[in-house]
Amino acid sequence: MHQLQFFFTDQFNEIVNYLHYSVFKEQILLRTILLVSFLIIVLIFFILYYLLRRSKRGKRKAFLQKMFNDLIGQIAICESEDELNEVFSQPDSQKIIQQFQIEKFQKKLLISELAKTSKKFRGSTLENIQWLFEKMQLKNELLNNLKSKEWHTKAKAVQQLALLKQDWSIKEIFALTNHENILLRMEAQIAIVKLTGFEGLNFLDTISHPISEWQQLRLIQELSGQAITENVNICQWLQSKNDSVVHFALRLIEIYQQHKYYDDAAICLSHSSSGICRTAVATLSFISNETTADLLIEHYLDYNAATQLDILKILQNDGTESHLEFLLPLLHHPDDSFKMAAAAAIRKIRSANMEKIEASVEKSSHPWNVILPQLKMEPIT
Amino acid sequence: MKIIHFLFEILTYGIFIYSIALLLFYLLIVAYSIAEIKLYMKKSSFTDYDLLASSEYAPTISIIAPAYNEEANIIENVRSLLAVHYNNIELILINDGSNDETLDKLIQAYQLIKVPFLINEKIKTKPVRNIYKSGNPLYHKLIVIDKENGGKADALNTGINVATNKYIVCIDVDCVLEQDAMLKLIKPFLEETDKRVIATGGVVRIANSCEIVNGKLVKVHLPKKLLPRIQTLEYIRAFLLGRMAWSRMNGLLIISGAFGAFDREIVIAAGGYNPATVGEDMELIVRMRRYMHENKLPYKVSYIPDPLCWTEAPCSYKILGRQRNRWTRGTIETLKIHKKMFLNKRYGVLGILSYPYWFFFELLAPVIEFSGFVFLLITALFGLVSLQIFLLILGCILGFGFLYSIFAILIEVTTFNQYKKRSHVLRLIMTAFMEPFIFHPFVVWSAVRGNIDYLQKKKSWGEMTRQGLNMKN
Repeated sequence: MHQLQFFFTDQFNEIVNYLHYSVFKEQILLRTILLVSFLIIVLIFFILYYLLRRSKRGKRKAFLQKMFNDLIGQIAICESEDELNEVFSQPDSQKIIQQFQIEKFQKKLLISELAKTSKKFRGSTLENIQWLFEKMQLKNELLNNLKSKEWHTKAKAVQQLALLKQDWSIKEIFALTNHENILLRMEAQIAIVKLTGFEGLNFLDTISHPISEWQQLRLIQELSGQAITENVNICQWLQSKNDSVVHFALRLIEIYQQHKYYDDAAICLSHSSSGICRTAVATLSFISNETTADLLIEHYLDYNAATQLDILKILQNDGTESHLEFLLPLLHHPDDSFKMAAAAAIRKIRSANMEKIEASVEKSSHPWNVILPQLKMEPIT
Repeated sequence: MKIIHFLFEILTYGIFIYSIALLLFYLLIVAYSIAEIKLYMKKSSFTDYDLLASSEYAPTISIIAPAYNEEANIIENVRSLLAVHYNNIELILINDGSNDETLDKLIQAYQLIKVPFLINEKIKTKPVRNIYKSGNPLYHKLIVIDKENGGKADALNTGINVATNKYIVCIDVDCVLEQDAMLKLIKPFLEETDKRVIATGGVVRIANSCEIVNGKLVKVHLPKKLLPRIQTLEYIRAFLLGRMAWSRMNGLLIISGAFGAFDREIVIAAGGYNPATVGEDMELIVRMRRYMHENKLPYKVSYIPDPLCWTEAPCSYKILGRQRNRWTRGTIETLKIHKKMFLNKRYGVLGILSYPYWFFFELLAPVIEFSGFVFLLITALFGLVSLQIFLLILGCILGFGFLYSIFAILIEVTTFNQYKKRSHVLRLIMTAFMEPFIFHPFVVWSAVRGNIDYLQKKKSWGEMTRQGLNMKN
């Protein structure tokens, strides 16, 4: 027992020695910890200082914004140039204007407020805001921003030029529509369409980068309310090597009901991209004629399941008795979604066809015990 | 003696290297999150989300919300989801075999009628009893599924089978969404041109003490109670720093189960949610990513730092302990299921960085921290390490934790600034100071308990009793 105790004490001392002299080396450890602690404390104080200072900057920014919005408000409601000059030369206005000409930050804020306001207005109010923009000689500021090396400064300038309807910048902005930076070129594309309408879509002739679905939605939104012009190159875009351009052209045909491009759109049914084929199917359904259903059935087997289902859904509206031969065998498709879609199309062609469906399937077994009541509940339009 | 020396050397150097690696990872996370948030803020300044809300060409989405014994708030919750600022939606609510009045209340409030409805069962689930749609055209977007109880994952899978749209949004029914949450969540799917976005997640924030009127968050307050307030800070740190950094590296392994959007086709191809794990949200993301890697499909898991979804945080240590215990077991299960990916080059960042990080610094961290603290305490008590050094090491670690927390507060204030009052920021800073003493040890202990429970093969979800949010009509 005594020996065992001695053994453990010996072991314990060894560990103590080992820890003290071999691993921890207290002095070095102590200095390292103190240095790290010092760094941590400095950083903590720096962050706390920044947090407090930032709140002061925020208050100053809010104060300046309010001041400038007051001036914009006064300018916006003016009814003549004389009135504009009068408001502009008032001592209060001059005081505000001087404030904004001191620092770059203030000029930036001023342009931003002008652009934001111009987004909300049209007509004479917008013209008044443009007048103020010119009077304050901010054109050079935006031109400099347009030449900036930072993409977001450039993109912001492009956006603001378009909002302030600065037509002189069209050439510079057009040159950016195929820029390497995706966000910059997106803003340039939107800006050019904002400034020139459908004509601005000419960038699609040469664009080498894909246009995202989001950007397509933005472009469509930007064009909404405008009538499509004759000189848009839809035929050329449908043959583009850039798939996203083809996709966008098909959507334009669909949205603007461009029946005259039916044959060109139909060519896209044989496109190598399955995504374009699917869009082409949808587009043709929107500008359909009496041959569309046959055309889609002709291509049916070339497509993936999703596009095939789309075709079956289109047949619910465009199908005729002559298509029953194609639809009836699909009631025995292994996928229940196809059974359902085919049955719905057959029933919509003629409600009496329900008997044909019931005659070809096992009514009481799944999935028909669900599909048939579901179909009966759906209205025939 | 040499063996003992050697073991001590391994232990001390091991803990030292582990700590340094962990600190380096934290610094890497900080650097990456700053870069990613800066880019996001710049991008956001050009974005007009109203475009998607108003566009009839915006994609249609299916919102899937499972409900189990939610009779107290189900009517308001569904109303809140139906009122979301996005036109093209269908809301699929799954009553997962509730044994309270959830279904009856829904039937009554939304004039539901039983309808025949074909479910194409792409993912195997527990049997569906009935499907309901509203007889009132006002609620034509609502589909209610009544099914046998099978757990959250099974309920979500049922919703996925019923959904008809390309994108699905899985959400906890009691969450309160920001008005533009859907718009922000769907945008990443539409932005990418060279990769397929398979999932998007957003920041979840703590709604305790916030004012909610008609299912909408109208005023943000910092939680009055300490425990939810600490979780507020914890969520800011995790969502703004951690997940943002992983998103930049395309190495994100989790999207919160409370609110996430997915590409339905890929979810089905990957097999849907796994009902056998309590960490179904993380497991699904890992499986979807694995599926994309194994099929050599370029993809991305996207992440939005905007606060999108507000949820109630546990107010008691008992419920919090259950939650953290479950999270630990979920992590262990997920990492175990996908152990093939560990340091496997085939899975890129996922195998080389994300998985090992989660294994060493999320899964093992509480265990190592717990044992390391016990070891250091014993050596200090026995005088093997001077008390001065022990306290300094402890102070240094606590200081670093505090620094990390206030850095997260700084990022929050300079970006989304949800807590605008200076008093809120000061209280958050105070909370950061208190956290290591009254919260962190409990969380570490709960995680250790999670490990023990996993070894004992406990599978329970753990009852999550809520106190209820500050809802007004």
